[in-house]
Amino acid sequence: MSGSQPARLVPLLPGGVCDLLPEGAKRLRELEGAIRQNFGRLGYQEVVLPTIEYLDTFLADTQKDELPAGIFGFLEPFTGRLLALRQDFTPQIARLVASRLKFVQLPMRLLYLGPTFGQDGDGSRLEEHQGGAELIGEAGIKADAEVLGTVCLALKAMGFERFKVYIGDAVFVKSLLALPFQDNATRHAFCSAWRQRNLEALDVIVEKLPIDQQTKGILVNLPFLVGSRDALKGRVSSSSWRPLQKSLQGVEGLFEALEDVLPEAEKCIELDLGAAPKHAYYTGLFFEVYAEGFPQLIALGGRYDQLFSVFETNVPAVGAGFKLSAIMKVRREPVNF
Amino acid sequence: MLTFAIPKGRILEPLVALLVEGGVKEAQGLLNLERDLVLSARSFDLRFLIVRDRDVPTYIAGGGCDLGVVGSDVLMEQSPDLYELMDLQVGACSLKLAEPQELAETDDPSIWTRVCVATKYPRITQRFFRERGVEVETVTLNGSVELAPIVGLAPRIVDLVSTGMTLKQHGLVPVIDIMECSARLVANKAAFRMKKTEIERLYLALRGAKESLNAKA
Repeated sequence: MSGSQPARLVPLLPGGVCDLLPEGAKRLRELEGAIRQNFGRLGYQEVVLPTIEYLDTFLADTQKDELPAGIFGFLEPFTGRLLALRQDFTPQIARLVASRLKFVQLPMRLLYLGPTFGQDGDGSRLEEHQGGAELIGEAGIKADAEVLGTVCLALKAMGFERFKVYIGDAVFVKSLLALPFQDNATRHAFCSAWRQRNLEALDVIVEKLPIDQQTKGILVNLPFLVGSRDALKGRVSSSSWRPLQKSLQGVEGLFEALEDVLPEAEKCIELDLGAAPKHAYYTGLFFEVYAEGFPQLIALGGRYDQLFSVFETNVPAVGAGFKLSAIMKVRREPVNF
Repeated sequence: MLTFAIPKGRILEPLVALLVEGGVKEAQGLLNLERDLVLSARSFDLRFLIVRDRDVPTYIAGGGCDLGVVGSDVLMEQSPDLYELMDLQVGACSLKLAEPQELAETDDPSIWTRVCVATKYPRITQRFFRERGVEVETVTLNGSVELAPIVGLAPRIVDLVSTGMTLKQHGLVPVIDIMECSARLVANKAAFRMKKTEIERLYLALRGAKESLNAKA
């Protein structure tokens, strides 16, 4: 087409990304400010991490040979190593800390703000803004309470009045997966029924397990083991199944530790023992936060004491992230008619 | 209050029977709604929304409805982010590949390496054949898929079959079973937690209704 006019460029936006106009940019910075302020007060310091990492860094969460769904990967020029756009901050923080362990003092309190990249099956989101905080090098329920309590304070500062935190326990999840299933296919079926909260399918599998009736009674109700601490205790009080009792004790400890951080914990924190963790790297208490009018979770977090083991070091850690793009979506009030 | 997405069409009648059996008497009204797309049921503090079956997952995942009923074919095609709480065992049918009678007489699916298929389910079709080493070209249609072989748009189709009458009328015969389908009760993940008490109550009512209908049959 030499000699002709250059083709006019259509101002086309790729799917799954968006511009933030002055008002949106202001709101994002306000939300980030709430994280900065509330965690900053406790000595969390901000770090800025690269958008690109070696893919390996993000594989800590997966079954090793399986790529995280929807991750953007490409080759590094000259070396041919696989790179990826950041899909999750936590493995990056682990990489950062692991590379500097000799020079830093633990515990470390870090916070971060920035975009993450990943694609749903339908291509509906590609870039999402996130923010979060990690407490590295501190084991125990007090550290969990510090992070969780501060998440709640930050959400309040963001303007949320009615939100609910749902606590799950990765140790409890582990004992579920260690039940004496007949074979791997049954374990798989159990996992899928549990993740879908399909009580009926659970029933069929649990019925055949060589375990006592009392435990069976708990397992077939797993999907609905959601509620306040007292409600749930009432519901499972008859069970002496150890993993369950230990889990409830852990939560009890969390509430105690929260007293200093978050006086009204009882109001906004519930238990969800039927929850499947969003990340496979959680090793202790994990949580998801939901709010009225938001169809998806707005924040999540948990303890991950094994994530550093891929870097051949052992450091306990707990962290949380805020889904800022989800929080920024305009909430539409339903019209009554 | 719970907002409940109800799919128009085939599933509606058995679904209403199930809801009524479960104690949601007002659901009877779903059968003679004319232009209305909304119906309230005071007994369970419900609001029914009538939508297209393919739109049910959109309503649920997007938070427009807390609960809903949708075919497992639609769930498989869209893999939406929601909870699949129960197989309601109504509206059973199967997804099949079908082709014209004359073609079927000499056809041998076991040696296919490449097929062209018209369907409303491109993702299921792609996945099914690629897992079996067959390259598949899908022609995506939104309805009347049986017409595609007649006009030469695609020699074969993948579609839902319940009685087989529609296939027969168009000179088609089923050749491969892809999956069995039935209606599922689904829930939004946030609503499942935030409205757990109401959802559990309705869930138990529907489960009881299913069992008592099964016992009667």
